[in-house]
Amino acid sequence: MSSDVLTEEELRAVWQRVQRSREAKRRGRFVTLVLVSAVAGALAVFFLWPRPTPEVRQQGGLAFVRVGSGETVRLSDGSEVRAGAGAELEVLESSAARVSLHLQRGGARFSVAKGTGRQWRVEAGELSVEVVGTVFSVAREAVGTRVEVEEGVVVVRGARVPDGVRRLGAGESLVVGGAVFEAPVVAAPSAAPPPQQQQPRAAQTPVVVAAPVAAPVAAPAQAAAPPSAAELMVRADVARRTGDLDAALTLLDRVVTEWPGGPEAPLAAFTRANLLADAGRHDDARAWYRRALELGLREPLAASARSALEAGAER
Amino acid sequence: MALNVVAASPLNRLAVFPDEGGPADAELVARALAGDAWADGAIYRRHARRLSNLAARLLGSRAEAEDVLHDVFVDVLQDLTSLRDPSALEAWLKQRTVRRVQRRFRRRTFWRFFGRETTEDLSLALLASAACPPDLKAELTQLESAIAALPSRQRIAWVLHVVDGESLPDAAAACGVSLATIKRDIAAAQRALETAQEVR
Repeated sequence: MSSDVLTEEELRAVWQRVQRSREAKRRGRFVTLVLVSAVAGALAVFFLWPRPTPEVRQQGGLAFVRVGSGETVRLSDGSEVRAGAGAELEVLESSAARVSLHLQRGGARFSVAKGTGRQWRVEAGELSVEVVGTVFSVAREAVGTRVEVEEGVVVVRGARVPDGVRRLGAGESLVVGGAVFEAPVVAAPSAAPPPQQQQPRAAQTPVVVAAPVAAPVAAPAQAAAPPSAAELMVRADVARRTGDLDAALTLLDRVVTEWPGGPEAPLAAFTRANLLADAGRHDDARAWYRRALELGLREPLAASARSALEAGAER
Repeated sequence: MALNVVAASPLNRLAVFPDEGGPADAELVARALAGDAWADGAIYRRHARRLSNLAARLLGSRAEAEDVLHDVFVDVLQDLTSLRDPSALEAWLKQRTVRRVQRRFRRRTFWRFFGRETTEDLSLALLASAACPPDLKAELTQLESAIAALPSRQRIAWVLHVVDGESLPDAAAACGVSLATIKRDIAAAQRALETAQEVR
């Protein structure tokens, strides 16, 4: 005969507790499962829910990416594409070695990660921009296609690009005209070189414009819609090329006056200053160099403007 | 007085449990794994009394023994799939019970740090079988405080082997330690109890 610690009643009570605990555990497991499923579902919805932008659609085996104004698409290699309003990009090729995009409409800023070895090409109308590691913008506008380089170097190819190919460095831009323009011509407004700078003026060329010599220069009022800043810039360069300095100065002044906050304004002021300096109107030129700097002229053009101001002060 | 409890090893069992009839443990485990709720209850009925007495002898507390019994069965009935040899159910249950008792001792140490002592309300002498000679019960009563003062590992090993009559390999398996370790623990406990007995 043994003396047991727990009586039969107590053992039965423990068994009932055991069963209650097991039931509670089962319920707990079920609740946990439901909660985990709910969280997993929420995460799946969050990550898989189609974003309103960028819109990706398939058409004829090609992927189209349509992004809204100011939207940024980040790629796996760290590169970024920020599109302007209504921009539409077609992905022609995407591999570890190469990314090829077709800008069908609108404008976009491309920040290409350096050191990835991935070659980028952006096709925009007649232009083809090739790059490895840089920051640049491409925009299809009424007057043509504009390429602006913020960092690094790009190579622009196209039938209307002077000599078919043009290398653009930081701070340089290129506008290739639309259908109204016939033959590519390089027009390079130049700055009066400061005494301490010996490099040729072509090296400082801020804007390369491919436009016809015979294009109308000062007839913006005839257009149904007022000309854009880019269009005025093109006309100004054409006017300067044809020797119509006053028209060029007027058009550049209009860019600064009508679009003081636009990206063309500092460039227009800088170009106007260069033209005035070339014409020997140094006081006016200094005033416009200062204006260009006030408008936020980017390097290296800003350094050039400062040098011109210092040179003028010494004189 | 001769120290029968301490000197004689292993001693007689203090509690004797009759073997119940019915299906073998292996069959009960198989049926429980197949979802037979009756088999769960059968396993409990067969082993609960034995395990509660073991926990009580190790812990010296009725309430804690009841809690350990509850915890062990909640665990094992959920974890039956991890039992590799169903016929070794009893040894497995004992091992799980000892593990739960060890956890209880750790909890006691924790609460002692904050000044809360656990009162042991059961004595080994009271738990001894009716057939246990009165002189042996007297010896156990005298040893109570010395046993309670042993480190928990030595106490469990000594009670399993000397009081519960487990063989050294079975005690080692129940404690989850090697044979050498269980021998060392039992020897250390034995020396401590002999010293306490001599002082008295």
